[in-house]
Amino acid sequence: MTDELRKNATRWAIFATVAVVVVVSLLIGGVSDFKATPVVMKVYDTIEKMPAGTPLLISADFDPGSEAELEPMLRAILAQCWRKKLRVVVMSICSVNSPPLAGRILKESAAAHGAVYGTDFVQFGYRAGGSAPILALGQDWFAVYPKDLNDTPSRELPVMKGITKLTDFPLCLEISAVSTIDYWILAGNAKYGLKLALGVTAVMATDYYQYLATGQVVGIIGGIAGASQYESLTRRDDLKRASESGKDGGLASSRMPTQSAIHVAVVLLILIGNILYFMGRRKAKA
Amino acid sequence: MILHLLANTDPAAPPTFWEGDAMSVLGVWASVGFTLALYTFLYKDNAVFKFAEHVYVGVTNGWLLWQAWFASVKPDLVYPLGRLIGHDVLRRPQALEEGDTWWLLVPAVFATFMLLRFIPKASWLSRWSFAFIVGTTAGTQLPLQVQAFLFRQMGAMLDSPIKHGEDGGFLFMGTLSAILLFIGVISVLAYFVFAVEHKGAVRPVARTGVVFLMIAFGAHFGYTVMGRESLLIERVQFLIGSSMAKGAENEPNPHHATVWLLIAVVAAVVVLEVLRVKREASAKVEAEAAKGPQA
Repeated sequence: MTDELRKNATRWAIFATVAVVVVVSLLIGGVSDFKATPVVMKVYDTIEKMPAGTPLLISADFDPGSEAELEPMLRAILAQCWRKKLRVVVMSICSVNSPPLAGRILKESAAAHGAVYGTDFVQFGYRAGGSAPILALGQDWFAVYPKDLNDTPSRELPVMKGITKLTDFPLCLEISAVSTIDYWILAGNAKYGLKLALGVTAVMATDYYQYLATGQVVGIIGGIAGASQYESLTRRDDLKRASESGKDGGLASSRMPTQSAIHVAVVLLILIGNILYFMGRRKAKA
Repeated sequence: MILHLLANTDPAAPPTFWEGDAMSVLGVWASVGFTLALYTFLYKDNAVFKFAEHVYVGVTNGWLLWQAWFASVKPDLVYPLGRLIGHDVLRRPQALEEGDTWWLLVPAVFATFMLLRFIPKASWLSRWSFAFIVGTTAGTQLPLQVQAFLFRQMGAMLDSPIKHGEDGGFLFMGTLSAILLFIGVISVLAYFVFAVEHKGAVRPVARTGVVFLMIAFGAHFGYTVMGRESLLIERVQFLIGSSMAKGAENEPNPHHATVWLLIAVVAAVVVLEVLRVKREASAKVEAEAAKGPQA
């Protein structure tokens, strides 16, 4: 037991430090207000320029493991959509897990902003096959989705008025934690010229920056930091509503001070580790 | 499936036990308990963690199977084929819906072929399904892959490095970015050319490539750490009962559960560890005792 303690003491001390920092920082609370980077701003501005009634496609492709990062950005985007009176159409090509998760967020956000199902927004289910459903949606939306998640015929929904295929959407927002983004770039953008914006986990963000230079993607919201920047933009333009809706205006922003605190703790731990290492080396030489 | 059967299907009826407050409280306590149990792995691999891990894997697979059947296979394949059989074969007054087509038999047959891998004598039929998938993927995606991932990327790199904004003004950062992109691509490619020895003029270019690679890996690692921290923060927000982590309005606050279950989980880990140490010690004594007479 003593050997085990000696062997793992450093590791456990690091875990304990991070745990204390996270708990204390969250109990103190606070909301960050970061300036949005141009890549995040581009997503916001593209939606902001859309006139009321424009249909916006959101492909919600995440599961419980990535919900912590992607839920805040979906909420912030939805809050903007409700304010702009856009028609929101949500679908999934990632897994059967995605529709229930996205559905919960959609329902809560719509209820907080008075959006009506069928008129202001609609949710379609999961379609398997990677790029195959995207290719098919480009030909006929109703062949892929004859009904919504509530079993209502899609053609009868007011929110679907004027939409017959993928290219009827001026923008598709892919909120994803997996490689479904590649399918959208391949089948949505390369095949049909669909304008794409991405909301991705921090791990994936660096993989998709090269698509900004080529114009295949208009903007990227990366991880909780990107979501927090998006929230600050939403708050800027709609202070009252953001404060009323709570989570939609500050879920990521409430997490960023803690994230910064962890970063400071990690940097300090690295410094302490290096000092101890060099002291030990000097002692060994002496 | 049992939960589905027990769930109330009539929206006007009062909520059942499975939809009511008791179930909501049980759900929150289970979430807190399993979160804490999984975090005990930070101490070491232990019985409490193992229990939570096995339950998690089992529940996840059960949920996925349930969702796949009720949200995908049944409404998209079983129901349409059922309606078609009723209408076209049995000649019943069965109304067809949009999307009902006998072509659904094709994916149904291929899907069945895939499952035949479990029957050795018929497993060869699964190759037809895989051949279909590989063939269609290659046919539909290869041209698009080359177009989207190769030509467009090469085009951006070979484009003029002098960038202008929408108003025609010179973009300093855009130009700098384009120049860095060009230098980065050439130098990293030079680093990965192993046919030429990294000597003379090639050496500084390849070394520059290494710098670009290190910066890329660093950015990737930094973002990865940030992603993992986000997951931790969300869980702790939930455990301490932050209003930001709260789900539905009527969902109970989990902070009471956190206190009691933290005590229970720590106690369980300590007791199981003490028992394990004792068991190992007695096994060691027994082994030495058994070795003694032989020596």
